[in-house]
Amino acid sequence: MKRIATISAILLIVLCIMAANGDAARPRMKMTPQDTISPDALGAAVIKTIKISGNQAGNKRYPGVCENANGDRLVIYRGPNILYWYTFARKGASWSAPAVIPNQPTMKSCTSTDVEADSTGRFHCLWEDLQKTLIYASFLNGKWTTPTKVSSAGKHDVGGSIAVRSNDEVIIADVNFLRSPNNSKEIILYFKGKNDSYFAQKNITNDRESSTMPAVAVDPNDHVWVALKSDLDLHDTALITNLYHFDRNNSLIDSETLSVKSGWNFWPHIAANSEGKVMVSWVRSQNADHFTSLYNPETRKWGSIVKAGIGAPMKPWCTFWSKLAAHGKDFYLAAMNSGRYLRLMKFNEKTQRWANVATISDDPVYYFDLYSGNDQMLIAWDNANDPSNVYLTTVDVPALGPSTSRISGTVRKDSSGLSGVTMTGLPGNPATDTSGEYSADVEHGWGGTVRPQKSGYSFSPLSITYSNVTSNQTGQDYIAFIAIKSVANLQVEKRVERGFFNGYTLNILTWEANPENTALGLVISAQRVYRKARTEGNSKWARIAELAGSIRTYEDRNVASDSDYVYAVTCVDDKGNESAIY
Amino acid sequence: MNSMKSKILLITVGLFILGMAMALPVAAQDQGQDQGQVQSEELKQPRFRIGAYFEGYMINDDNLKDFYHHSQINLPGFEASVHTVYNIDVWASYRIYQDEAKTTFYEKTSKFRINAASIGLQYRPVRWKFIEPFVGAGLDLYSYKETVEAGSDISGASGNATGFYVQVGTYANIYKFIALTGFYRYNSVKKTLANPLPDGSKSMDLGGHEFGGGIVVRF
Repeated sequence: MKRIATISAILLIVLCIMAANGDAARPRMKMTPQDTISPDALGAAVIKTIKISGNQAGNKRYPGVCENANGDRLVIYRGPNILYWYTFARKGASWSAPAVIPNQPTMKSCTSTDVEADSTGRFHCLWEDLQKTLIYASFLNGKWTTPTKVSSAGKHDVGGSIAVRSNDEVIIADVNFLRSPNNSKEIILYFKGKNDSYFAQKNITNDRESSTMPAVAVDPNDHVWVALKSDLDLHDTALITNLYHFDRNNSLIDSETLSVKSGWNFWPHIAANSEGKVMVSWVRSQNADHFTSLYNPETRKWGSIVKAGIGAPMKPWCTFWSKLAAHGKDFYLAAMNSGRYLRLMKFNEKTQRWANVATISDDPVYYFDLYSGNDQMLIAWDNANDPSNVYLTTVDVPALGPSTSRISGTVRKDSSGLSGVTMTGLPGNPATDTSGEYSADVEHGWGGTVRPQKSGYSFSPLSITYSNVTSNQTGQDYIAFIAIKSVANLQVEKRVERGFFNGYTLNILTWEANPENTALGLVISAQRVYRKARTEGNSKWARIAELAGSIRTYEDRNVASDSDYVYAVTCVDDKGNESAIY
Repeated sequence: MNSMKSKILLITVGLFILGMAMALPVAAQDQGQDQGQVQSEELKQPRFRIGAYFEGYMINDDNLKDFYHHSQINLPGFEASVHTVYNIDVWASYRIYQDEAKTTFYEKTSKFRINAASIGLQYRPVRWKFIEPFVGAGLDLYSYKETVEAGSDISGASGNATGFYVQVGTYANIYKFIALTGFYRYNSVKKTLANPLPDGSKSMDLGGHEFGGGIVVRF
């Protein structure tokens, strides 16, 4: 009996161990979304998942999701009949019945969905017809624009991404694939202004043969960032991640190559946070994981490459995909692990590590999209094993703080940006960068006067005064002038020239060259003499003479002997800039 | 009003002198016819005198002195007289007053010139053999002109001025037809100007003190 009890106890222990091992080795982690909240990330955050697609028969794939500034949400996905469907929800209201986006061109298949919203609340949608054509349509107040092909005729697109500038300019990044003569690919940006009907095209460069899947983001300065994969050796044996950085005038500032190591680097994604920091993510075959790097706008350098620690198998290609979203200052990364379970992670900048936030799905995911709402991260996804539905998971995140507006612009001199101009009056007194651009976030309702300052320069306008700023103020530009100074040590001596009977009074002006102008290397091409009566206001200055730049004296003979005059002598440089009278 | 009065006075005096110059020879002729002895005495003295002299002219106007930096200018003069009656001569003189200075700032040369003419009566109260002192009074008729060196913005100026003079002096008869003369003369020739002078006044006095001596031919 005792032996039986002993054997039973041993068996029980063995069974317990087996059971425990079985859980650990289980290939599919059966966790509810609530179970996956990371204690260091979201605290008491709530995760909810709903089925967003309707009951129509047919496969549903490639969802994209977005929330506009009004809190309205839109989900689009490739639905039955190989057409794109949508469902829309006003803030706080229920979702509309899924419907087909009207007037779509016939497609064989679709992929690469992306959605962004502009300041008016309009949703800008992009998807790729597997006939290699990018399709664009926008949605506002229940109405769709006619979906149109974006890419050039005769070329094939390989992925696409959409972003919106603060002035509501829509930007689409694309790689145009030209099969002949040499399978070359062009990285192209398309731009459509707020009131434009068509996209304008800007070729970035002829990139490497295997360049595909561009991702685009706009930072708070309206700079455009493009990430894409390229083939280092043209034989698909060393795919790298390339980054391009354009200013608000779409001029290329710099480009960078990350992840130049052996192995393949696929499918980058990119996002910019409210501080202007830019995060790029990609999946790397050699380490079978997702990697990221953070760009610091202050140092203008990319940080070290950080492993997300999520794992990524090499098989179903969609698992390579990762999506980044910035929520205020925070970056979130959605990516699938080795089991194709979709995870949401948050970047800790202090530790430079990604922390798990939630596992979004109990089921393997085929495709997904990530978007940062005001107080929720939105993840639209489909089921790899059951393509009959599309889901939307929301993860509560801290609501964005009091809304801020961004004041930004450029200080130019002779059409070039002027760096090092301190924008006094803005929070933090920011300075312009090497492109002459500046920006600062101000609190809702902010008011104040912004005055650019840099030694040796003057600006037009001298300042801009703001009151009750409630929206982004872009294009707050200034023109800088060399602060040419008037002459130095101006002396006036009243003299009389007369014979016995007749004569006149004259004022003798003498001065010296201003050493500040000399120090700046200014070429003084002319000097202008101004005069007014001492009792007159500044509006009464009258130019009485223009002299060569080398002259240091002037005799004003046209004076009344009983009047008292004030004089100013300004300098004019060879570009026509004139110093101030006083 | 005062200016008008002085002009009227000067014109009156001038007309009187001219009248005297024309009337006295006739009267003398008539008197000679009546008084042969007296006429004989009168006819012994020369009828005409023509002389040249050198004098110092100390102009009255302080502004002129300040600007031209001279309180006295030495200048030549010429005189002529004709005897009428009772040792009274009609006397006239012409002098040229010239000065030069630089303008105040650009230092252009400024030249000032007075053409001074005087006409009046001269009375010799006693006639000794060698000495014939005289007193006289009459009109001054001046014209003046200032010119400034070319290149100056200052315009020149010119004008006329009238006044009167009084004088005292003597002739020293050193030979039958030759006499020396010495004199002192005071002129008052005031002018009101359109533009103010450096001191702000608009009144100019071209007169002044003259003293000098010369040689006279009498016949």
